[in-house]
Amino acid sequence: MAQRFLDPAVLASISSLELIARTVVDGFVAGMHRSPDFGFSQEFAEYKAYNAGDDLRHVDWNVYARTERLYLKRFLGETNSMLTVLLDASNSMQFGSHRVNKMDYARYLVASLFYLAIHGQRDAAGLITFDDEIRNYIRPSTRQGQLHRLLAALEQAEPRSRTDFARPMRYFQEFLKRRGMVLIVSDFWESPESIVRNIEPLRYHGNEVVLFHVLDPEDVRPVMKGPAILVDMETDAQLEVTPDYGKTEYREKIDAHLADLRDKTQAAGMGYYLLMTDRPLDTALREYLTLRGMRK
Amino acid sequence: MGLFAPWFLAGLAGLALPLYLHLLKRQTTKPKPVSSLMFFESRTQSSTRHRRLRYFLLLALRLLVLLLLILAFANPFVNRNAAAIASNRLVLLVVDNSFSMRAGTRLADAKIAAMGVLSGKGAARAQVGAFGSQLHLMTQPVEDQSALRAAVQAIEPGDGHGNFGELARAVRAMAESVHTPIELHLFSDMQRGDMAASFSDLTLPANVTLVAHAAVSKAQPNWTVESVDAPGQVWGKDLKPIHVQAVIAGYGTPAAQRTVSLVVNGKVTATKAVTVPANGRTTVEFPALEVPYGFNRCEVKIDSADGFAADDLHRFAVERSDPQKALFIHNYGDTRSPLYVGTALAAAAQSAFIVESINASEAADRQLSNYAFAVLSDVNTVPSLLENSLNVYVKAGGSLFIAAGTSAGARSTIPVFGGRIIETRDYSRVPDR
Repeated sequence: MAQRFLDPAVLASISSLELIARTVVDGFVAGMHRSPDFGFSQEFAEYKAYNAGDDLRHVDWNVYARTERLYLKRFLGETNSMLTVLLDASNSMQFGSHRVNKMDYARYLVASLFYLAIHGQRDAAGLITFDDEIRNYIRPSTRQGQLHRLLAALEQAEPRSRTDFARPMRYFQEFLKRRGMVLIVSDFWESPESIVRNIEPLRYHGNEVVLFHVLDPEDVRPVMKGPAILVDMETDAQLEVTPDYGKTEYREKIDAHLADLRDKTQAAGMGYYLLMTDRPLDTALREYLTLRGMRK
Repeated sequence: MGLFAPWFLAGLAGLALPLYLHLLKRQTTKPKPVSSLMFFESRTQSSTRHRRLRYFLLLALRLLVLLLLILAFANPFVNRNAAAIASNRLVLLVVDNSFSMRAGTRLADAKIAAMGVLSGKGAARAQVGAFGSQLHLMTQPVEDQSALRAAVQAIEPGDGHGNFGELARAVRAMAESVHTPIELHLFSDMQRGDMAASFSDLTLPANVTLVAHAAVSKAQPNWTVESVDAPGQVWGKDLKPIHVQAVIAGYGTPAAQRTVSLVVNGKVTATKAVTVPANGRTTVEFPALEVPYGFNRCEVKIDSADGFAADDLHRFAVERSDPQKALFIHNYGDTRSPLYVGTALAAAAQSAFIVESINASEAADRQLSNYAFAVLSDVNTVPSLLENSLNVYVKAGGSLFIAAGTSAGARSTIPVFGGRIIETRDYSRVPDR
């Protein structure tokens, strides 16, 4: 049942991004047979001796009654993390061979992650949208209304121009000075070497970097009924291609590219996950939670 | 080869349309957007060649369909060689199996002759039929000699009367569906009686060639009882003698004396010797046929001693019974009506009724069931008792003839029948003065 609700084609019929995020997260969590009140603040971590200035609300008065010493009761949930999502909003993200294009899929994915981080785990979350330069930046925060700001930014992120990691990546490092998680959502139409070279510096501040590689099924297995003129959505370049090529050489090349990208990113200590837009969103959410758990 | 409607060939100009469409379509390939051309490589040469090949096949099919359509409208025809058509002729073997073919070895001779024709025709397409009162085809048109020979052997003698007119009609019908020449071989004893009523009935189509094979070389003498004239019914103990007249005929016969016998219920009651002229006929009369009451099987036979024993005998039946009574009811004083009706009934050869005339007032007490039928002859008034009796009589199956004459004007309904009289008109032979 949960899988049905996570189907991107079903989600596309929901107009509100927040509702989509809630549907995805609640459905996903229910699918894991876990409590919807997912939170680490309920889990006891340690006792800490009281120091002047500490919040008296966290004093364990039972311990004080027995020992006449002040101890603070600390919980795991209080060690918040910071989530920053870098969303590729270039033209190629508009491509879609079915109802949900890559940009829509990325929106659902990022919205769900934000919802899970802010509502579920009280994490600070921020967003950077970029193409060949930075288009929008929402500073990571846990303030009231942060989720709405992030979702509004997602709604406004219209694909345009082309992807260029080199130029905006210089500025990313200025924004990412606090340690946290960095999720990069893109279709990564660049060489693996270039991608790793441009993204790797993000790890220098101790960030966990994960690449969510969003691709349409036809990006991997193009469907061609006859010889056709193909137009690049970012560069408008045209090329005449035969179906035979699309069935043989192209598939070999794209498979090699995906394998190379995965190997190189993992070798560089980054996470890499390939997400096809006709698949449910579980993979991305499960990966996020796994990473979140590791950071604890 | 030619064309019945060559002006439709102008439609060949329409072949330019698919050519134009194919050229135009090649220019209107819609570009397809993709995320990136990063891993695509140009295959212009091969793709173009591939497209041309595929389009060529489609174009060729379209052109072919159009060409066939135009040719169909132009209505082509083929001038076939007459010799080739002639070589495809159908050999139709018809063996007469009418009753006359039973004589001697006529049918066997006809079959042997048919076999001979089959052997001579070699591998020609042939069909076998038997011909009596109508044509029965024994095979389809085939070239299988064994099947054709088996069909000839399977022809059995029939009891029918040969009819050349019917044969010609069947062959005419066959020629409408078989357009190749037909070689009709007729094996028959060629009896004169088989001829059609009119000569035009024997007309054969132009593509039918008749080859006649006579199954007999000379006429077979045959004496026969051609006809018998005798009453079918006699009444009571008729004092008048009953005449039986028979005609004895000879076909292909010399003048000869024949013995003619009259047989009643298996017993020869009379015998006469007659002289039948050569190829002629003679009449024999038996003046007094004596038959008992009931149905009697009678026959006239001759001692012909010819090859056709079956026509030496002519059977007939005679019934003897008592005459029946008829009741004639008329107005009082009417004497003319009984006279007319009685005379008319007596004149009828095949009936015997004794008419009992009576006026309406006396008829009420008669037992009507004793009468074969009753006549109500323009009676002015019918007593209710008589009308009731007549109703019962009719309902029980009796026959009543009601004559409505001048007296009907005085009545509103027809008695017994009950129908209303709407209007009456009287006519007189005496003109008004």
